[in-house]
Amino acid sequence: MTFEFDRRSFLKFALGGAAGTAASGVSLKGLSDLNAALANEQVRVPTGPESWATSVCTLCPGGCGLRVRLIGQRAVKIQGNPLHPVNRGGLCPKGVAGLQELYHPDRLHKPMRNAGSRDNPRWKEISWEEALGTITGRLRGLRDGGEARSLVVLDRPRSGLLPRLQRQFLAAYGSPNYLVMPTGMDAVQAALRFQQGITEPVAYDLANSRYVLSFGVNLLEGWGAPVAVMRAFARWRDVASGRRTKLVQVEPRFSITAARADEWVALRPGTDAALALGIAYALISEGLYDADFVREHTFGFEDWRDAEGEFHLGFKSLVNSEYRLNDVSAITGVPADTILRLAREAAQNRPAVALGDRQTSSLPGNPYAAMAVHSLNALLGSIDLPGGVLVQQALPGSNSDSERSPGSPPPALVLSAGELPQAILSRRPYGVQALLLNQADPVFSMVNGDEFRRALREVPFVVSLTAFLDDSSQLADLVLPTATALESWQDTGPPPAVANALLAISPPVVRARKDVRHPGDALLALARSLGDKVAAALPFANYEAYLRRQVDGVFAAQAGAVFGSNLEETWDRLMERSGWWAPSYSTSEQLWEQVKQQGGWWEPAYSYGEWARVFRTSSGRFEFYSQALAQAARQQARAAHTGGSAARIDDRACLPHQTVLPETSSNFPLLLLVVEQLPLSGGQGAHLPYLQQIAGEHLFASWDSWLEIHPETAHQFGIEDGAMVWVESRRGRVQARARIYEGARPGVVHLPLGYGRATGSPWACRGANPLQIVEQQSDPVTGMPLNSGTHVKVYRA
Amino acid sequence: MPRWGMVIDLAKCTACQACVVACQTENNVPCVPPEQAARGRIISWISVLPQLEGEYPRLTMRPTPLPCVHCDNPPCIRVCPVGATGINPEGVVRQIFARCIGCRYCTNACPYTRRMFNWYRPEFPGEFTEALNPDVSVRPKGVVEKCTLCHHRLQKARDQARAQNRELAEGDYIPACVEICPAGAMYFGDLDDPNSTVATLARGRRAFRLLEELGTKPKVIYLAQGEWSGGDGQGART
Amino acid sequence: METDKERAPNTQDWKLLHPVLATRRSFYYLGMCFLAFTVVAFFAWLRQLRFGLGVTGLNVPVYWGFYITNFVFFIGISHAGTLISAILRLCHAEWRRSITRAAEVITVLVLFFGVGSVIMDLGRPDRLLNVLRSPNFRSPLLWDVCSISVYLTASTIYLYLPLIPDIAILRDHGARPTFLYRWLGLGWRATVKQKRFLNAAIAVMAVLVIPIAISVHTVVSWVFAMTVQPMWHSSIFGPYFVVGAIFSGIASLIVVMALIRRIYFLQDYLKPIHFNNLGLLLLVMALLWFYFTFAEYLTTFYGSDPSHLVVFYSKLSGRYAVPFWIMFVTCFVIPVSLLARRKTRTITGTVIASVSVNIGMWLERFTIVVPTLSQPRLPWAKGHYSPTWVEVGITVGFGATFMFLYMLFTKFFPIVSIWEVQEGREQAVPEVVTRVRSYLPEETVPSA
Ligand SMILES: Nc1nc2c(c(=O)[nH]1)N[C@H]1C(S)=C(S)[C@@H](COP(=O)(O)OP(=O)(O)OC[C@H]3O[C@@H](n4cnc5c(=O)[nH]c(N)nc54)[C@H](O)[C@@H]3O)O[C@H]1N2
Ligand SMILES: Nc1nc2c(c(=O)[nH]1)N[C@H]1C(S)=C(S)[C@@H](COP(=O)(O)OP(=O)(O)OC[C@H]3O[C@@H](n4cnc5c(=O)[nH]c(N)nc54)[C@H](O)[C@@H]3O)O[C@H]1N2
Ligand code: SF4
Ligand code: SF4
Ligand code: SF4
Ligand code: SF4
Ligand code: SF4
Ligand SMILES: [Mo]
Repeated sequence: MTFEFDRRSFLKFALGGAAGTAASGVSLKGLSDLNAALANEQVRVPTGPESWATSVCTLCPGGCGLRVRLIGQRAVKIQGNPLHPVNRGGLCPKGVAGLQELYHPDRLHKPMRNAGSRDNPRWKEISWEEALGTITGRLRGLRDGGEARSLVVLDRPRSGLLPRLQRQFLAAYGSPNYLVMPTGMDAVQAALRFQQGITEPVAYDLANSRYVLSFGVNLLEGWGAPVAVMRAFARWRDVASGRRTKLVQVEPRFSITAARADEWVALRPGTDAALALGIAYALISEGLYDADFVREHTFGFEDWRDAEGEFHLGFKSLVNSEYRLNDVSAITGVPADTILRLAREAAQNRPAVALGDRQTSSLPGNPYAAMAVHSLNALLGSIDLPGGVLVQQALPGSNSDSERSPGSPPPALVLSAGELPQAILSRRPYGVQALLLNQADPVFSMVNGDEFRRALREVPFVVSLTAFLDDSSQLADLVLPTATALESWQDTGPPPAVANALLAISPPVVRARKDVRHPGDALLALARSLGDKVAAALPFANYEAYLRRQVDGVFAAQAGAVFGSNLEETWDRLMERSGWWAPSYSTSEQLWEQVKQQGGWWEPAYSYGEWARVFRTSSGRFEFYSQALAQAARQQARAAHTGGSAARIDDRACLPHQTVLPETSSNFPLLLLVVEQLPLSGGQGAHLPYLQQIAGEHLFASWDSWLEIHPETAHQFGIEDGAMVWVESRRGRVQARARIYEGARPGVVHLPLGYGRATGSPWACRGANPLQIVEQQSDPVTGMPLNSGTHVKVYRA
Repeated sequence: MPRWGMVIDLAKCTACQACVVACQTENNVPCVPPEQAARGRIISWISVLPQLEGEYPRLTMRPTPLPCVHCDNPPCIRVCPVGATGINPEGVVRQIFARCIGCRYCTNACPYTRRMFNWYRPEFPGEFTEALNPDVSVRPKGVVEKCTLCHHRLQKARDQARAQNRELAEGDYIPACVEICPAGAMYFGDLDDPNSTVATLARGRRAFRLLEELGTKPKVIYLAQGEWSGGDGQGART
Repeated sequence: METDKERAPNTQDWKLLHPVLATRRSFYYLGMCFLAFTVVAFFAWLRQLRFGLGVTGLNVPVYWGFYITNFVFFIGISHAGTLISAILRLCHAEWRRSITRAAEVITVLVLFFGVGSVIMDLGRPDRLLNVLRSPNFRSPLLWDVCSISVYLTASTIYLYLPLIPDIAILRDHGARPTFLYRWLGLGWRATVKQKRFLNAAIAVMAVLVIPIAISVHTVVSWVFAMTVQPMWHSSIFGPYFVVGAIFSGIASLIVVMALIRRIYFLQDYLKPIHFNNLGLLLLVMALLWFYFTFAEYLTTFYGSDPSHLVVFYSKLSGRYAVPFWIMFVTCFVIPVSLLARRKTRTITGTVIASVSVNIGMWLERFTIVVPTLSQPRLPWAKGHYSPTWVEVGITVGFGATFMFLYMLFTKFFPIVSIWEVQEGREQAVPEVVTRVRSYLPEETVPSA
């Protein structure tokens, strides 16, 4: 058929088309109809009566108090609890975004059994009864076979009473193996152990410090109790207080903390110890250090002779001989006059406090650097006094007996979580038959995640308690969905770096949206069904009952106060100092009710200068020269020279010192330092869109890993802003988007932590996990872990 | 009649962006999907601008939380062809979502880039709709939205004060961003009340406004960073 | 009473009726071709309606892109017709007679696309009527609404008035659809009275239309200039835009003329002299354009307001350097070098220059709209704008649809004004002689 046109039919066609267009769109009525028909745009905003409830945030160890706005049964807004002493109404963005956690579409809603293999999991939903029944059966079997000790619990870092419950559970069951994911405070904690002889958490009275020297401690991006630190920062800059605390941020990268500090000292990565010792040198040589404190409360400052009359190097001689300003300047890249000035300023603006070494559990801090930094606190006399370094008060009523197994406990498998995979794989000192991951994801968040992956395959029975499927639970036999903060009873204790004893407890705010349970409830149910000693040790119907009982302990301590407004607390503190204790409650029941209502209880007063409590070294003093380290070294030496006489140990291994940095190789010319961003800190938060949107504010980056690189370095390697690049180390390579950042040190590149989950919410499975290419290094002399970074090369993808 | 204004102390601000998320949850601001974010279409009524300057290692960054500054002389409202945006007697620059034709003239006229456009229909994946605040509407696609100074909170505060038979007092009406700020770096109140905190701070020596030279008369006032003035290591000063 | 013969075109002018009365096959193919683009544009627009403006490449802070560029560009082109034809009419430029119609049609048609571009750009086109329901007269956009409506009305009348005698010719020829011509013909009988009235009306309209046209593009420029944004907030934007508008308008006219000349074999009516004259006009406009551009950029540079300089350098040497320098070459270097010499001011030469100018003027609009937006005063995330297929599709579709409608017009009405050409031949020649004579000193009769 030919297609014959004539003018008429053409016109008809054209006019018809035009008319059609007009009718459908160009006429306005038509347009709105079309618009409405094409796209339905109504978003229903549900309504209902309004109410408010108190809760706590568990998205990080900070444990801020929350006020939750409810409309009907729905939580619609999270605010800070103004009565909570940690946050006083403020919250970090993660806490505010917590609602997205509650209503997250990717949450697990039922227990699941792996019906496939470890390598190829197939998840089948089962009931809680079935799940708990399976676990009970397994644990009974182990216990009856005398292998109770081969049960390991790996917990995420958290404050509050749940760790206590887990220890009690394990003790009654017969296992010593309660492990916590490394928290990054480990380096400082090690310094405290070696120099002060204590294992209690370190704390700081930052709000009252006048000079803060932070060695890479990311104060404003998630360190410690984030909101408490931010409040302290605001205090430092409160004009009304009439003076300003100086914050000096020492780190190679221009982080947000560095940007907000009063001074940023850019040092060569991994040379913190040298810088700290350089400052120590200046303090000593100028006579600026607190001689009284050093004389009264320290050990190993001067050269000394031990009982056998052997000569030992003292801190002063070490510093004077090896850390003179010019030497330190050459090591660190910090000008000598800057070092001198920092020392003078710190000495003249007391209380001055030194924080560090930098911390990330993913890259263990360097204990010697931490010791060097902590030595500054001793020189400045900033230990256990207002504005200085404190030791966290224990929660009253902690009945440590019940957390210990009766009789002599079996030896613990390992000392820290990082060593777990080696122990599992080598079955030394004994094998692991069952592993309970309590909201911990070591495959994703440990540097040796690969090792963990292999190790988990070897463990016959793995249970993961988690709210979202994650990389580790992929290797589990059972996955138990946990409740989010607002859905269950919650409690938090004193958060990291906060000195005051504290217990916040809050009832569920909303009904659980899924078939989920609090880990405490799950554990107590297990205890019941295990029967016997375990049931006897934990005779609680549920976690609420457990919490209720712990409050009895707090009541019995006859101290502290229920959360109140600032004013009330100042009053309470005054009263308490003068020996009065005027509680608002007279029975434990009343205390319980008030805690639920106000959010918690705390001990507002800290007793300073209890030297016996804070110095539990063999000398009873602060030890520049760590005798604990000396003893350990001696033991090691003895083990090496089997049976031989006490081998001579290197004094330097017991004193803070700068460790040797690994050499750069021409194949891997750049140094990679991983960083945490507040929104994704602790590896958490990538599954919440609100946090993804703000993750890289300084570069307007969002939703994906970016590689910070200095413009010159980028130019040198032919990399443009926004280009996709490979970052390759000896261990492997990951992809990221290169972002030119003036704040990156030339020759150093940075990848943000928190990205690159392999399993879980699709929102979290974006970008790259830098830990996959980070190399674990250790000091060649001592075998101690280092955090000096990984050498990489970067090239276009 | 009050003239609402905000003071942000840049010395105290930690650049944490809690204010950003607080505003988004309070005002039902949708999260755009990652591809959209990559195209620069994130909607946030308040953002923290980094303002980085200098070269390594002599760098400065002045992170600046920036909501709509509620100009007293707003360039944005004049240009709107349909009067979908205006300034109310209390100085709040508001937006009538139902009238806006989406021409985006106002977004271009605002020197602070503080107006946001709904490129798509807002999405609240999964059960995120459950968290929507019933006091605030969800904007349809194709219209411009912006910081309202949490105007719905003023209405509630007024109602409450009226129910208690009293005048609105300082602190009754606080926007979500100000309320959440962990550093207490934000202040809010009546700039025309000479005794209010904001008015006092706004008179101070550290106070300045952004792009003041344009004559927009912002009602968001910043307090400059200020510097440490302690011992400088050269010996004590008196 | 005139005779029929008087109303009929001269035999030699029959040619002008030919496109209306007969249509070649190629016309349909070309038409379908253009319509195909229309369909693509329509589809793109439906998508945009369904999903929102997200389907475009616009973002924060580049809230305006192709659509607004098109808007300014199309409105600029519209100055081709009415303004040029009015000026030429008022100046009694006799060579205008065969080109005024072609010019006026451009104006009327292209205005729809200018307005259409704005509608494309709206987030809520369904609420367009709000402009009438709750107008805010302080908004330059509303000034635009007013001035463009007036301009559209005036241009339509101005197109229609000189069309009446030709419609009557078609009517009398029984061209179909007869009702259309009878209706539009308004009973034109070419009486002396009618003629006098018509000429008076055209003259009045010609005077009226000039200020309106100038106001239109001035107001368009004010959409930008009334903001405080860097490199928008400029007092010479009004005249600068008007000059640019006339510039691009003339260029479009030349292109259109060349096309109809080829397609309808109108070599006798659209002669090299027409192209030469318009080419000279274009040359003048190119120089004027350069003058304004130079003034605009020099003042910005000299003033060195940092926020302006950022935009300035982004155009001269930054991200927008490519479009900027192409614009400079196409708007200035190419046309001036072609048009300044008589040797190259041929039909081909002027057409090349005109195409070049049109490209350049589109780019000029683009480099006005986008760079300013992408460099806001506060260091916002730098927006990088690149259009999506939707914007490209709609832009191309608009161009194609315009040409299609233009073709359609030539199928209904003679594109060269028959009666005016005739009038020129019959009356103007003696008139011009008289007129020219009147410029000269009186011929003095030597006294006896
Ligand atoms: N909201 C929220 N807050 C949290 C958490 C959470 O989940 N949510 N988690 C908490 C936990 S568990 C932790 S561990 C903390 C994270 O603790 P942070 O201390 O914040 O850890 P990072 O951010 O990894 O710190 C890395 C910084 O050290 C710097 N740096 C790198 N190499 C060196 C070096 O050689 N020397 C020096 N001086 N500096 C160096 C880098 O530039 C970078 O700025 O956050 C805690 N806070
Ligand atoms: N890649 C990467 N690795 C890291 C870090 C990082 O930022 N990125 N950070 C390092 C640091 S500082 C630390 S402390 C460790 C932390 O390491 P982990 O303690 O392992 O913490 P995550 O892996 O973040 O979370 C463990 C699991 O518990 C679940 N979970 C966590 N919190 C909650 C909660 O509040 N409610 C519920 N219902 N479920 C929860 C999560 O679904 C997650 O799957 O990781 C370290 N390793
Ligand atoms: S600091 Fe930690 S506890 Fe506090 S709101 Fe943020 S995530 Fe929650
Ligand atoms: S919440 Fe406060 S401290 Fe955090 S960014 Fe906003 S203004 Fe700054
Ligand atoms: S900041 Fe922008 S949006 Fe807000 S009032 Fe001023 S001009 Fe308008
Ligand atoms: S986008 Fe809406 S509010 Fe803005 S100018 Fe246009 S109509 Fe007015
Ligand atoms: S005042 Fe309210 S609307 Fe404005 S930025 Fe703050 S929270 Fe958002
Ligand atoms: Mo951590």
